[in-house]
Amino acid sequence: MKSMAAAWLTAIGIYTWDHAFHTTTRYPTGATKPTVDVGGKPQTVNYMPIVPPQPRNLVLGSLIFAALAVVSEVSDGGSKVASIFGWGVDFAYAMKVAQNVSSFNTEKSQGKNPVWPRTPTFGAGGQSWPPSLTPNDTILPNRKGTAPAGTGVPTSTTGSTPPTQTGGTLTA
Amino acid sequence: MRLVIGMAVGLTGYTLSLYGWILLKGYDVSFGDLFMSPYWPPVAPDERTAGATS
Repeated sequence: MKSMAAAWLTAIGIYTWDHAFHTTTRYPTGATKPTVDVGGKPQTVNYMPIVPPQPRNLVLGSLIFAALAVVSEVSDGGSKVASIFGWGVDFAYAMKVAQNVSSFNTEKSQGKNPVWPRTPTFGAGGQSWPPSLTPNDTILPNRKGTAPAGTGVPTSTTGSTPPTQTGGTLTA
Repeated sequence: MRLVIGMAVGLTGYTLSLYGWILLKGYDVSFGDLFMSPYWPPVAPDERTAGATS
């Protein structure tokens, strides 16, 4: 049981590392870096911010380990086999990440990373993190980017400035 | 079965924490996007195309 739990946590850790590492880019020397407007002052972007892993993929990745955990409940022998299989899955995924052939890195190298493109737009309605802000009169986000009609509030958040650009994403 | 329950608790905790953080930050990301959106970050395909560069 402990070995299975360790195998699952290892898999989650490898996924999270792969996601974070291959969705964060430091622009190469000499490249034109984008700027964002922070408090009326343009700031050069050196790093793209790390996007937190999508729970969907964590759940999908955990399904096989959940199945193995159920198998391990059947018998003592099943526990050992399931544990070995789980660590084998970890090893295979680690090798894939080490070879830079995981989906994150492959698509990133092709310039079409669905998780994180090379040119961030920072909340201007494009593909970026942080995403656009919700309208002021919306309690729960609905990703529509518009307020209900007749409320007398702006109808779009396009072009809005994200609240903060914190961490290692910006430099003065 | 304890491991399966532990997985469920852990993933639920992460999901709720992430969504709470999203709400606090005011990002326009719905709860369904955490599981249903094929894109991450969740943006509409036309928005992705509009700003896409390689």
